Parts: sequence; C-alpha cells; structure tokens
Amino acid sequence: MHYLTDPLQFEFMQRALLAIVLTGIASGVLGSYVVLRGLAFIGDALTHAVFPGIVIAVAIGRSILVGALVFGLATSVAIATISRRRRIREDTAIGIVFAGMFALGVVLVSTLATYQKDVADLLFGNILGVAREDLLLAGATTVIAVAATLLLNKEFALIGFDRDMAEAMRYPVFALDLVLLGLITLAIVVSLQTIGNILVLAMLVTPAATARLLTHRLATMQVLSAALGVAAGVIGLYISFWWNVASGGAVVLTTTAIFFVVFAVTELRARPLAAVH
Amino acid sequence: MPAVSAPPLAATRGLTVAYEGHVALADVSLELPRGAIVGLIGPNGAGKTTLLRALLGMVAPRAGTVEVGGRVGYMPQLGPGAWDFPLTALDVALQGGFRRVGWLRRPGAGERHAAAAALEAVGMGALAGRQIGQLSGGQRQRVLLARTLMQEADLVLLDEPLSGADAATEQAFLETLTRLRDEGRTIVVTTHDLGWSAQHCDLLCLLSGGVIAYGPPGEALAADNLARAYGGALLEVGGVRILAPEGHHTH
Repeated sequence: MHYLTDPLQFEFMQRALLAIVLTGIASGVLGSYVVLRGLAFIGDALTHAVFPGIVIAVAIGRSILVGALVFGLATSVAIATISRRRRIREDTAIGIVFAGMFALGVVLVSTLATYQKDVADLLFGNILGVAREDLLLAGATTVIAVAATLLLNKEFALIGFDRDMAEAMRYPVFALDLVLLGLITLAIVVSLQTIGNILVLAMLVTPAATARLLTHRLATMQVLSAALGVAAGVIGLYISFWWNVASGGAVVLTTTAIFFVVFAVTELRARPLAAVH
Repeated sequence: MPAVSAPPLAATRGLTVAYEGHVALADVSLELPRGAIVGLIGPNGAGKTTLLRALLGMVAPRAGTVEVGGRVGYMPQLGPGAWDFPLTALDVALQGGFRRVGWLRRPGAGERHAAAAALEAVGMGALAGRQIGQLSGGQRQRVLLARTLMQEADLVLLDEPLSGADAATEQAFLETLTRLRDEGRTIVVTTHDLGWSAQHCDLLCLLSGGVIAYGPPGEALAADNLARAYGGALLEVGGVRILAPEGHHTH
C-alpha cells in the first residue's frame, strides 16, 4: 500500500495527481471528437501552434496557460478561415499555420537563451512545476471545456455525422466548428504542464480511440475515454515517481499500452465471430 | 393533386445558381403545388442536388428568387464514412427534431416517442437501438427517412433516397411518400430511375442545367424531352433500356 500512499505525502505529487486527473477528463471528452471527426492532424497543429504563446508567457512571466490559450484560439480561427476558401484544402491550411506558428516559437526561444530550461519543461512536461494557480486555472478550464462540450453535444454529433444535414437545418456550422476547435485548445492547455507540448496529442487521441473500440455509443465513449485518460494519467504518474522517469512520457506510454491491450483483446474476440459469418 | 388555381407551396423564378463561376442551374422557374410527389430527374451534373440546396437556402442564387411557404425537410446523400459514427438508429432519427428541441437542451420523452414512431413508420422500429454501422444500406436509408419525418416539414426534399435500396426499403419509401402527399405535403425526390419516377410521381421535372420539361410524367418523359436532357446518342443506347419497364403503359 505504501507504494500508493507514500507519494501522496508530497504536496507537488498531490498537485500533479490533480492536474493529471484534469488532463485525463478534458482530453478524454474532447478527444472523442478529435477521433470521430478525424481531427488528429488539426489537434497536432494546435499543440504546436500554442508553443510561441508559451514562450512569450515564460518570457514576460505570465501564466503559460493564458499564453497558450491566446495562440491556440488564434490558430483555430486562422485554420478555419483559410480552409473556407475552396482553393486551399484544410490540411494544407493546417500545415501552413502550424509550421509557421512553431517556427515563431523556435525563433523566440533562440532569442531568449536564459529561458530555455523552462521551455524544455513545457515541451516535455514537468510534474514538479504545477503551481497552485496553475491548478486553479486548469480546473476552471476543464470545467468550461467539458460543460460546453456536453451542452453542445447533440449539435457536435450532428455535424460530425452529417454536416450537410446540419447546414440544411440552418445550424451555424462554421461557428460551431470554431467553438469545437476552441474547446480542443482548452483541453490541450490543461494538458500542457503535466504531459508537455510534444506529447499532448497522445492524450487527445489514444484514450478516445481505445474507448471507441469498446463501445458504439457516443456518451459511453466520452465517459470511457475520460476514465481511460485519468487511469493512464494516475498510473503513469506513479511510474514516473517510483522509477524517476519523465512524467509525460510515462503517462503517454501507459495510455499507449492500454490501447494495444484493448486492441488485441477486441481483435481476438472479433475473430471467431468473423469466421462464423 | 389540388386544383391548378391553389397557391403553390414553393416557387422559384428565374433561379440561377453558380459555383465559382460555373453555372450549375440556369433560369429555373418552377411552382411546387401542395400535396404532390415531384420527381427530379436528369443526367449526372444536371443540377438536381443544386436545386434541392437552393430550395433549402443553402446556396445563394446568382439571380432569381426562391420562395417557400412552409417548413423544409431534407434527406441528403451520405458518404460511407459517416456510418462509423457511434450513434444508434434512434439517435439519428432524433436529430430531425433538434431545432425544435433548441440549444443547450436534450431531446425529452416526447421527442423520443416521436422518433420511435418515425422509425416504426419506416419499418425500423425493431432496430431503433442498433448502431447505424451495423445496418444494411437500405436500412440506413430508412433511418435517414425517419429523421426527415421528424422534421415535420411541409416541403420534403429527398436526394437519391432509393440508391441501393432493397425491396422492403422501396416499399417503405413508397408508403411513406404517399402518406405525406395525402397529408397535403409536397415531396421532391431526385432519382436516376426513370421507371420508378414515371410510375409513382405526380409531376416530373426533367433537368439538365435548366428545366427541360415540367409536368405530368407522360408529358415530361416525351422522347424529344429525354433526347434534349440526356443527348440523342445516349438515349438510343441506354435510354431505351431505362424506359423499357414503361413500355406496357403505352399499350
């Protein structure tokens, strides 16, 4: 038992656990739409696009969450606006904006040599770095992201399933797409400190993909995805504590391992059935 | 069909629609009476779907007007990828009532009853809880029809609802469309099946970039109209075969 309780004596570990639980919930719920709508690439773009926002926030001593939020939302608007023009496909628009944003972050980092250690923490995650204010902001962000998603769930599901019908029913589809991208950005922001910029995408995609293998219901998928994200986060964090490895990497490896186990089990279960038919 | 003097449910006047400079529909003037099944036929790229989208207000006309005196419902064509979405037949049927339910709210018991009844009406009641990906092609079309019923529209627009339909699905569509027509609603249905449209539609609109002919099937499907819509050569090769089932009507 002490393996589970010992780490909890440390305040940083309590905060890290809370932060990783928030990460699992926000990424799990929003990740369902990332997986169902094939937004993995745009999710990857958003995670990179927030990088300059983080660098600037570190440089001026402000909360990285705010910096990331501003750049993530700006990128969402830019991608959605550019891809509205028919001549530029959406994936091209994403490529242009995300590479440009990340390059901006790289240039900014190179001018701010003294901050490179902080920025490295953000790229790879640092559980020691979760401050009280960060936790409050992450908690509020999670509540907003999850509540907004649940309130707009039927519209998001309709657009994801049948965009044409949503337009015919006079829904503001473009605006709702922007809102969804904004909410995905919120989930990314929540995950930044614990998971790190580079690995955030895994939390958006892997738990949701695992949940999709286990259910055919949207609501069940969202709950399962959040639960799997939380479980992987907590397990990964303990692994990180006891084996002294990077927290973000440990969490992502855990969720990846869970995915492959579930994938193998569901494949094996599907096989005999397929043979019968 | 109502008397000719009754005011139409919907009308277009001089409707022209263009996508990025390419004119998809030119100068379409149509009156859709109340209580009629109107078939929209014509070759690929004739502008059938474009006309439906114009009636829905989804595309802005370059010229002309569209007037609809009632609620419009729609059944689009759906790509195969959509069916992986984790929704049940009931979930999809419920979507038709979402605007009624309003923002930030979930469909209540009344909506669920209505959706179950709509599925029942198209012979899908027993499969309401089935994930849509596990349904056959015809069953999926019927679920989409149930969703369209949930819109409670006066003008019902169906885009190729019978493509890949089995006999049970065709029967369910025919019964449903007939019932809607008898309730005084107007159904506009695009199809490639000239035989089906001649047999079951009250009016046919033959499109090819514009209106070639509009009237009762016997008039609209006159040989010279078909030749103008599909091209003379095509008619001689494929057209006669398509029209073959109609041969017995002329005996």
